[in-house]
Amino acid sequence: MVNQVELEIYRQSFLSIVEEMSVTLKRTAFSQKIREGGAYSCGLFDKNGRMITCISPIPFHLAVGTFTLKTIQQQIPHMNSGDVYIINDPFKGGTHLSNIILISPVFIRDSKRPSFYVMNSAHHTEVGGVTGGGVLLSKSIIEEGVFIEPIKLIDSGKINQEFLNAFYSKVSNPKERECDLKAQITTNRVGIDNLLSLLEKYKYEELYKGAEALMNYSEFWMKKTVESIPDGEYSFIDYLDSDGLGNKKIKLRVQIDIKGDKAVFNFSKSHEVVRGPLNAVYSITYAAVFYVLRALVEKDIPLNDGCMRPIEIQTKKHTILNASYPSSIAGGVTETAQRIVDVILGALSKAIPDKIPAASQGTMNNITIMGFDSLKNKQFTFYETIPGGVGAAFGYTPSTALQTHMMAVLNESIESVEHRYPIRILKYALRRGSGGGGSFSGSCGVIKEYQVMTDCSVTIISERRLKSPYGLDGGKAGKRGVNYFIKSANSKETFIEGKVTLELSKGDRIIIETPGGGGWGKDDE
Amino acid sequence: MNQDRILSIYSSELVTDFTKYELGRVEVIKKFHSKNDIFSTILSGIKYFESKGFFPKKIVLSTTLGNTIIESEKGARVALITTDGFKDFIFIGRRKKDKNFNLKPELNNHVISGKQIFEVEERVIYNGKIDKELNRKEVKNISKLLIAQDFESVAIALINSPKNNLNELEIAQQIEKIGLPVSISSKLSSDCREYERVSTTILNAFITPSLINFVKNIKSNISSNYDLKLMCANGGISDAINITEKNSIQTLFSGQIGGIIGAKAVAKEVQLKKAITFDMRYNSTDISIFDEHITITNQMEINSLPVLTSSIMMRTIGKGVMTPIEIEQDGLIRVSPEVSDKNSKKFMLSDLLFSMGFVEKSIFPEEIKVEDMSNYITQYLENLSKESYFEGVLKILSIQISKQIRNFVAKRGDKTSNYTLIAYGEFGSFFAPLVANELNITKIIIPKFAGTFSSFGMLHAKKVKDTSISFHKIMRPSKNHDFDDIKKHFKNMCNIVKKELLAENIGDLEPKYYYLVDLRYEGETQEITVPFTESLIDDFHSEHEKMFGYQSKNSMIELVTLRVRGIVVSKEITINSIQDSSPINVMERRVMVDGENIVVSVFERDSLIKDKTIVGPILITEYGALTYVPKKFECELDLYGNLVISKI
Repeated sequence: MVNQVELEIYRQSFLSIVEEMSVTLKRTAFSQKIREGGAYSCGLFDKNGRMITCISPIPFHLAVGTFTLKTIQQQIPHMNSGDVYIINDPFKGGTHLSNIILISPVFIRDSKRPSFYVMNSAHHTEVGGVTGGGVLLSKSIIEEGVFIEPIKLIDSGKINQEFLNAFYSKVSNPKERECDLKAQITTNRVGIDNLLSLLEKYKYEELYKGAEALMNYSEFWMKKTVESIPDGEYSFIDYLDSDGLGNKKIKLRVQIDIKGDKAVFNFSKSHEVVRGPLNAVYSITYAAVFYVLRALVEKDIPLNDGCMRPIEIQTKKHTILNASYPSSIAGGVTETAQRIVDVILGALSKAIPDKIPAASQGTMNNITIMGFDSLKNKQFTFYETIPGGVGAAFGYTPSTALQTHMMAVLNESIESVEHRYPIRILKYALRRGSGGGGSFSGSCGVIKEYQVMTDCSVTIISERRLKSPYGLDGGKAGKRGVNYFIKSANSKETFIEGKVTLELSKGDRIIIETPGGGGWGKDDE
Repeated sequence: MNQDRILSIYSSELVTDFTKYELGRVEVIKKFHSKNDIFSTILSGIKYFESKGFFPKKIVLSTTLGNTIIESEKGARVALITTDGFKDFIFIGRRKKDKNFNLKPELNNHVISGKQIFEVEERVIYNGKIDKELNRKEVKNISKLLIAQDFESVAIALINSPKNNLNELEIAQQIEKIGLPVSISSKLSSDCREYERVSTTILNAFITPSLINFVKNIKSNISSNYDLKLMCANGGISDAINITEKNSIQTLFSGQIGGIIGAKAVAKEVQLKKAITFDMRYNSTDISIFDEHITITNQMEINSLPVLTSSIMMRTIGKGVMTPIEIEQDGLIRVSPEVSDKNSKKFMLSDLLFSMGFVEKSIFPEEIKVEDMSNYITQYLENLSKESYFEGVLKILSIQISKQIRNFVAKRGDKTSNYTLIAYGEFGSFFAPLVANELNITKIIIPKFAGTFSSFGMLHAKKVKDTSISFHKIMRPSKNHDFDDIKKHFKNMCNIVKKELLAENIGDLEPKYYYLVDLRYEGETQEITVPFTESLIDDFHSEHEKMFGYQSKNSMIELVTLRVRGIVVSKEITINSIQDSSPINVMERRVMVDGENIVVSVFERDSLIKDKTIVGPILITEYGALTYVPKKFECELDLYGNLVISKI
């Protein structure tokens, strides 16, 4: 039996391990998405593969450890001390190919099987394929980069150079990949060392019981949260505009069944997989549910296996929310993930209207610009995502544009972008009037205007250009996003679709106006 | 510079410490007060020493006024003038949401609203070229509006201004004609990170008028013979009027910085190379780290808002003994919870220390209301004793503090076990051994005057000025680099620094200059600052490996900023050695230790003798501080009068 004092001591002790892993990964990685963008996660798991704790600055990384570890345990039953396993396969627990996961078993005393596992997942800037680090209109995952099935990267301390050589031969910047992989290996090493230090203070059995007590604690509070939602069936439908390759109005549907302290999220009636890169794998769907439910718990509970014990998620294989090989998925983590949150919130708004916000912008507004920089004499790829409006809720009026829900990436500085790429940012402003009105208004989207200083190709993958972010309880929808470009030759404005690749000439401008957030409640005025 | 008579004053919201230095002798006093009585307390302290016949040549003051203004958002009415098209970006910025699991994200809004921002037509591009000329008519119109709308201070921050600040300077000239104080972004920072730089400029403008008033009021109420200096974030001291008019943002965190300067002086005295400083006071807990040199950073944060200014690297990790302790309905303990549970019972660390018997209520300022936790926690004592419960809370706090220190050190690629802990502040010496135990640190130093150490440390501060310019150079991976262009810039920058130091009345003293450059591998966005020497490139590779775990000798290196630091090296102050005495067991005290309620000995620090080891558990009292030496630790006084605590 673990008392209240011990519970918090264990919690802080476990958290300390993943926090130092997080510091190490951010410090030693090359990729700016990891260093500054927070595109990574670090986790600690028990012998059964249950998550004890994790840090995941971007929610869509929440489930990677759980599912990839399961895959590795199933496929590699015999592990040794000093092993490190690598995987990025989205269909076996990953999220997308850029997200590479490293898992290390931790053996103590003379145990033949691992007593713990440490894990970190990190976004590599590019992993081969045609995307070059951006998000493009891929038709199959084969175009998106190198596939890594679970494989031993390090075998009892000895590095698998054959695998690394093959991997480096397929990426455009092997030096950077090497840096990031080394950072990940070091990170797991730090986790193992800190765990072994903790085992000098506490017996393994005490830590095992402590971890279990923490999981039970999280489970208890998640059950209480579910119990506070009135029993019933709540469903909601929302749509993705298109997959960019012919499929339009792509349906996402959830039915949430609440019974006592248990909840079932049924996504089975969602659209089948699509040709374009909007398919999402199961771990993304799981992460979206995890995120929303965790946000509803009005208590600071640890992120662990216990959180999701009262929850069942049902999907149908080969649908857009449980895609399988070789579906293209590059936009699934940015676009579809946000829509999953939208349908979950839409359904829950029928049960607990006062707690649920209206839809936020529901897209990441991915922009990729690729070309040749004649001043620096090299190819460049610029990629970023753009914030937008936040949905209002009862008693809550958001004040500004943000990256919401499943994404939380820090934007690169404008001066840095202009220095590094042949691009100028001419405008970065709030898109006034784009938030949905209501008793509580949604916040505005933004207007971002780029001018390309060289001939280049631009790919935009964005959503909420056809269907607006919904309002709730009589609140108005936020304004749809808009993309257009202006040719320098004739200053003509041309509106373009949410998903497009186009060729631009030096001096042309591209403008992205992101969606506003939905309003909440009827506006009496 | 006459170092013989100095009065240093550490002023915070609840407490002001005075340290008088005269010919090797130090006297300290500590005064409690309310937030509204800071000014009168400072004056009364000065008058107290005057009444004792002490008339200082120099008064060094640190103030938390700037911090308080920003945290309370009660500063000047600021107008921001920025480049056309970027009116809103201070609200969008680079910020992500506050917490990950929050369906209603909140942001710390900046101290300015949309109606306070004016756009002007102009554009400088990445290489300093002016792509769009400044619209001077617009500037004139803005000036009129500034007067009509009662603005009190102006921030001017244009895109790419560190590359070419002509437009900023021209706008400033126009605004100065209407008599408003102006903060110019390119003068405050040369970093090409617009959001951080604009934030800095706005905050500088926000606090400047109040700081100028504060300093002028003090000056008008003290003798004109006193040279009034302010402690600065860069570790130096500066003429009070000068710094508040030109760069008031430098006064942020100045009190804590004083402590770090003092700790460095202690480290030098005992020939200690690597130390972590642990400063725990009534309402703040701050840490810093240094090895051979104090680490200077160019970015701080206050109220989650970035500030770009040269500063000694430190971090605020807690709220001192006002650290919240929440006991939830099921008895679960949360120390400094990220999300406060509305149903929990709220205490503070001060309540814990009182409940465990370590302190009396009288040691706290009136503003800190102390409560005994014992009655409340009785309902949760099914499986453990009250003593164990409280011990557990102390353990949780120690883990949390040590976790933050460990992460701070890990960011430098190092381990805490490689460091000695120097602890001070009213409560630093109490918690230091508990924290050291979690960090595998085996040696702790509690310096003299630990309870008033920040004001003591300020005695050691020198006159320091920094300047920097944005400068871009790509260096190929070869050994032969021509640095003539850089040397020319450094020469000009030296002249600027010297001019600023001359304005500080340095007399004939010649400043010592340090030349530094910011470098990164091409493609990175984070720079490292290294000294500009013959071995610049090799040093960069080594430092990069130390900081980030790798080096890349075949990669191109980008130089992005040149920095010059000028320090006026004056005579060090020397403190007379402390007389030997016999350890007298002054009293005993019943406290909760290791899950038991026991009696421990309490020694007066002044009564300790050098090299006589005392084994814990004991308490050591001194003016303004309490040291706890737990079981399995021992302590002794070194020959410099520092208390050295070691794990047995």
